[in-house]
Amino acid sequence: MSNLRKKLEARTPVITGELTPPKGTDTKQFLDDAKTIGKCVDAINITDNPRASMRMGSLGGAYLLKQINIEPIFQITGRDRNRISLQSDLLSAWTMGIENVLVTTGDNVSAGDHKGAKPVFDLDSTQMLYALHNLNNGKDLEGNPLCGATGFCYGAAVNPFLTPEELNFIRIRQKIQQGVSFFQTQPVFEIPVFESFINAYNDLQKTVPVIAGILILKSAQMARFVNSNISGIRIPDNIISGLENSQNQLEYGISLAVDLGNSLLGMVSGIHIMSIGLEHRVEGIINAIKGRTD
Amino acid sequence: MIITSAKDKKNLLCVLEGYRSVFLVGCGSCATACNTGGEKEVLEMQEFLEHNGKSVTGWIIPDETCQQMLCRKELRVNSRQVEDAACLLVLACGAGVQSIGSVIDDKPIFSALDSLFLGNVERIGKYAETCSMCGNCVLNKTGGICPVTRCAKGLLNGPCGGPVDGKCEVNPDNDCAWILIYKRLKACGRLDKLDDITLPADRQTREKPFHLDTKKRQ
Repeated sequence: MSNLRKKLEARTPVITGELTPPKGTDTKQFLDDAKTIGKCVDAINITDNPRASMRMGSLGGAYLLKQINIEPIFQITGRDRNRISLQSDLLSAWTMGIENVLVTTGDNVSAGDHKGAKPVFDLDSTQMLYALHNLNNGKDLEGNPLCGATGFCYGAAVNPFLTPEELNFIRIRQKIQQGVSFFQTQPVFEIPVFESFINAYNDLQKTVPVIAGILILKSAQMARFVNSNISGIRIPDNIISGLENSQNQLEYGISLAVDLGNSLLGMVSGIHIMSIGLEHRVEGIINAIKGRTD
Repeated sequence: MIITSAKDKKNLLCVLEGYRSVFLVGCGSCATACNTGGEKEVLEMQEFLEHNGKSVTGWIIPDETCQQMLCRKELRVNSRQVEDAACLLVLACGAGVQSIGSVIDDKPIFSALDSLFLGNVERIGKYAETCSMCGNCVLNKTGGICPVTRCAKGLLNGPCGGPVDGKCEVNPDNDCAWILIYKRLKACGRLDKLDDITLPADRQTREKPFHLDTKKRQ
């Protein structure tokens, strides 16, 4: 059983990190970063060609982490794979010892570096979860029996800030019905809005653990870039001006991540730290977040 | 109707390089309504080609160029002009081009238009794609709004995580189809339709090329 599943089932606070495989075949930096954050998080998400920019695959990246005894969360999107390829990659992942999966829809190809590519989206995220539910129960999407089932701990993404809220909760209930073990959220910057979301979430008849996202901001420039280019994330103006007016924008961003972590850990089952080049600061942030329990 | 747009005329000259004489075919239906293959556009094409050293041996505008029998008849009526031409240039959708190709098999047939989509006419010159003709219609579940076509990712069970203020993350000029569906179903008291998930679509309905013979079907 994966460490992530054990902690989720025990309702022990979980901390996950995130890494993106390299654009190319030189994996040294990727593995160095994995070792740096691997010692202070429970598992590391390996992203699947984020923003539709072609890189080394998340399956390969997750496998490399397994080789150095770091627990990966294999991210998989339906943008580049049809249902045959999705299920096939999931079977491969399981046989490679990868036990955690995060399903996301995937950014559209127009966001990436191969804009003329054909977007697949044969299955949406709910249907991918349905496929995972089947694979864990020893059959494929068509109900054909497998010789050897998977036993994934699989989760889905949720955007706490998606409106209308009622529609967001229809999506969330659908995903819970498909047997997800956890949700990971988009980065949170507005605690009161998130709190309102999590209160409504906790009122659901059935819930699963939520791991809240924290994106470490390096500068006001980065915050503006995120607002303009990454869908589903909104960094409020007061944070951008706070960064801008600070003497050291990076330290302001680190301190903000710590504050967000403190607030969020009191509300949810875990936090997910997106460090993007600041992997060497992750341990310090985690240590500074109060209420950390193992 | 089938929405078309004119190909770049300079590129068209490259395609027609080596062919001195051309017979033109427009379309009296969709391409006329789109202002891409009606009489005006056919005559403009004639003028353009003649200005660039080509001779136009004649032209026709069948009522519907996708109707093969109709095209056969009209080409037969104009057989001498067709015979005099080294190639044919068709100002119609892809189906129209191939309709002409099914009649004429000894001369090159070129297309002057790009076929874009099956569109609704919002007003003259403004068209919107609302149906992909996927053969697997989900409109009865989705309040009459097609997510296969109007969601940039064709998602069948609700929006992705990206819409902002009701707009699509891929193209903010477009409304998020799933928020439109949600609003419509809610207004009609049918929101419970979204409780059960839609299973993966049967893409066999997209196995090309399609043929439908209604006599055989009966």
